[in-house]
Amino acid sequence: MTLFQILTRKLATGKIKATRKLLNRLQRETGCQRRPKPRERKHRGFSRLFCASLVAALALPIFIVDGTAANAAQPEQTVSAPSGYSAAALFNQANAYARAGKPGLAILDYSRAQLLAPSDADIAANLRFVRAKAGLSDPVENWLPRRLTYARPNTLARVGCFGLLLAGISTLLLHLYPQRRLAFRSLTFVGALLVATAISNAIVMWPSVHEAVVINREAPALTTPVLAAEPLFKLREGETVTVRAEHQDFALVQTLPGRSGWVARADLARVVPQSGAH
Amino acid sequence: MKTNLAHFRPMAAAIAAVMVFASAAFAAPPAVTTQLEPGEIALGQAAQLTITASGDGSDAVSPPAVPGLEFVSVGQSSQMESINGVTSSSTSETYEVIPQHAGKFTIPALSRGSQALVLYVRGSGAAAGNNSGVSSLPPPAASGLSAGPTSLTKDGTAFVRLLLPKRELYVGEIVPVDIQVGMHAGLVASINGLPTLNGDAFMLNKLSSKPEQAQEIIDGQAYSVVTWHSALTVVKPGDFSLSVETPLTVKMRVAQQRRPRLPQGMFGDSMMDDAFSDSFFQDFFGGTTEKEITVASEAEALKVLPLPKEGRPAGFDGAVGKFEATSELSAAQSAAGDPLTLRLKVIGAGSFDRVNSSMLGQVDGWKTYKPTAKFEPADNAGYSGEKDFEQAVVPMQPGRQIVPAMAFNFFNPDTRQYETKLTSPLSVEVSPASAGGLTATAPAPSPSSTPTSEPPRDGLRPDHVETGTTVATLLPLYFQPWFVASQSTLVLCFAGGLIFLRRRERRANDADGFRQREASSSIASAVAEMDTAATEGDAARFFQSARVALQQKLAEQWHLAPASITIAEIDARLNGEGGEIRRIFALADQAAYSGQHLSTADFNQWKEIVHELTKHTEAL
Repeated sequence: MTLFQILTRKLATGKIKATRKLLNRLQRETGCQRRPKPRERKHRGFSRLFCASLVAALALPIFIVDGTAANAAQPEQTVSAPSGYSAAALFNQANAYARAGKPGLAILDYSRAQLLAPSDADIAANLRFVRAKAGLSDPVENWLPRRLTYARPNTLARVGCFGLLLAGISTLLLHLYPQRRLAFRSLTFVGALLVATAISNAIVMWPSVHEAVVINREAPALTTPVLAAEPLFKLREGETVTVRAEHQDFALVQTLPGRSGWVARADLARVVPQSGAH
Repeated sequence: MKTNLAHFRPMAAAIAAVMVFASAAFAAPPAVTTQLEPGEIALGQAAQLTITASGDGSDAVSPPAVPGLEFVSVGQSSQMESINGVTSSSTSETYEVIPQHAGKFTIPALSRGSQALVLYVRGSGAAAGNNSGVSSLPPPAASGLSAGPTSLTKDGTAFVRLLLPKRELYVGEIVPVDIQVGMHAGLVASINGLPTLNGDAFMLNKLSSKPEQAQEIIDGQAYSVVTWHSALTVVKPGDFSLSVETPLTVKMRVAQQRRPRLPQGMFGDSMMDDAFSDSFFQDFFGGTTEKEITVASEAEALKVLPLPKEGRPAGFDGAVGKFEATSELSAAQSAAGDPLTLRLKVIGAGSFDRVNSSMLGQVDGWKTYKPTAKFEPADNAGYSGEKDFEQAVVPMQPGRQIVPAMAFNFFNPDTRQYETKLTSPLSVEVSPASAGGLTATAPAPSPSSTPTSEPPRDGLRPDHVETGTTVATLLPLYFQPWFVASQSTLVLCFAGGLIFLRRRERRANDADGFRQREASSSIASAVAEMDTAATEGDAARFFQSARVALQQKLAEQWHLAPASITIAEIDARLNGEGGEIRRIFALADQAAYSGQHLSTADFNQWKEIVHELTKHTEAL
């Protein structure tokens, strides 16, 4: 019995594992070992380069956009780009509204500023103060959502993007270089953790995207989206509600205690403007 | 027979006209009254003269000619009333009286019963008298405010003007602003609300409910001008356009649908038609209606600059304006442990909202408390005034104690630089403490030994100085479609790469499959070489290739090395079957040494046999 026969029989019965070394030896025995052609090796290198470029091309815009936004904060550039939102400008504007006796607009701008700077103590304090002054109760927040929304959403989104890149590339490298399995698995785990944090933040942030603030002194909530409809209850200026649906000039809103009704859209202002404009 | 009533209408009209003419002929002469307001004006302003003629035939009272005064008609009104069958009418005509020079003017009496009127006109620099209920408009140049061109509404009923001191501002700066609403006399019924700004980068301070009023002549027309003095707060940097708008109710004259012309009647012309087309009748039968409009001022292009970072002092709290700071102590002599009041007075004009001071911090020999602040505005807009900070301080050691100089930082928009105002150091003679003096407590509400920053005014924490990072949209990145798309593509790419690598590994680990693939590849290349040899007529190479192909095939089938497939092995395994295979092996040896030649038909026949054998050796 030849060596080839012994090896193939053992492979067939599962007594030995098919390693690359063994397969190379079998190839030598059978005389059909085939070295990769230079063109194929070149092609493999090209495909790796292509994959890396694709990943970089997909990831770079996020950081470029970040850079653009950060640069916009420079005084020279903000002068020529007045259409942006800044937490400080929104905070100052909210203060001005609060001093002018417009709690609805003040709470709206504080809420917007808080979206951009969730950990700013001044914004939180003034928002609490204006809410209290307007006779509105502060929404109760659990420990976990508060922790998850401590960082800026956009920062966490970019962290999540970085985590995705880290986890993806580490997973691919794990298959290409199995001898460094532990390092790549650790990196994959860290990347997955970052992605999970970002996704959790997105889930917690999702309701804020649909929140609106009552900006007029009193906003009646109606049974149906028509002017002649019977009022169910009245919303107070500055009250924060969740917009569930919209129909023509009315929005179906839900209050914090869970009451729902149709309110004229003119009485509300969304915390996140849908058009993205001021 | 149908009566043609139309024939009687001219007759009735003629009778009515005769009655009117007759009554006019026998009526008493009209009584004329005159009224002039105000009695004293400045040069460049206008007074209002109202001439009211009561009684019949009183529609043509003209103002007298007075040298140095110009009379411009601005409106006419008529009134008819009937009491117990007695009809009376009056006509009032209003004129703007525009003086050509300063001095005293006498408007003579227009009728026997009326009296002459006197108008005093002072020079433009003279102080206003106190005999007028109408205050004059402060000239814009004096207050340093300027406005763009006045743009009237299309019908010339009103205008709104925004007067600003400058067009280049800084974030946090407060500038005085005047908002003027001009209304054409008699055409604007009311102002329906306070002026509002069109521009989200600015905040307007509270407007007074009692604005100033004055008269102004534009293009020969008199306008009643209402002026609010306020202040504008700049919120964020950028290039903005700013305008102001005001809701007004204007009177619109609605022409009654023109009556059909009277037929040629007994007068043989259209005299009656012309008589009823007179403005008096048009007014009587027609009328005015009110309409609500919004009048906006010309948009002003403003440039708002961020506060420069260069040269910003450490204690800068965002105050922008021009300020002076002084300090004082409540007493020059005290005893150790007795509280004193340290006052810091900041006077000037600017953003007092951001004028803060922590006053005296931790100083050796002094115990300090939280300071309090109080702002006293010098104007209605809160633009200028005085802010007083008070702090309770307690000298702890006897002797001559010095309260160090306090610094107040602000940004001066005129010089475009940060400035620091230092107060003078204050000294106080402190005598040794009386019994229990050192344990005396100051009347401060909080006995904290280390002062903190000023408590928030109005309960609000102060504005932020830094503008911070600007983003184009408030929608978080997670929910922006381009971000979701790019991340999804990234995930798909990684998933594709992973699937590709897994598949490659699986194929590499499949030994049987690998061997089969390699064998198939070898057979295919041997068969191809056999075909080439057949085409070239090379019998030796043909059979050699055929044998290699069959060896590969049988070796793969029997799990043997190809080299070990010999005729003896074939005989042993096939038990005498497979004669064609044996023959091909024998021919391969024979052709290699004998140089045997085959015809094309033979090549084709053997090719078919080999193809068939390489495909169906499992049947053997």
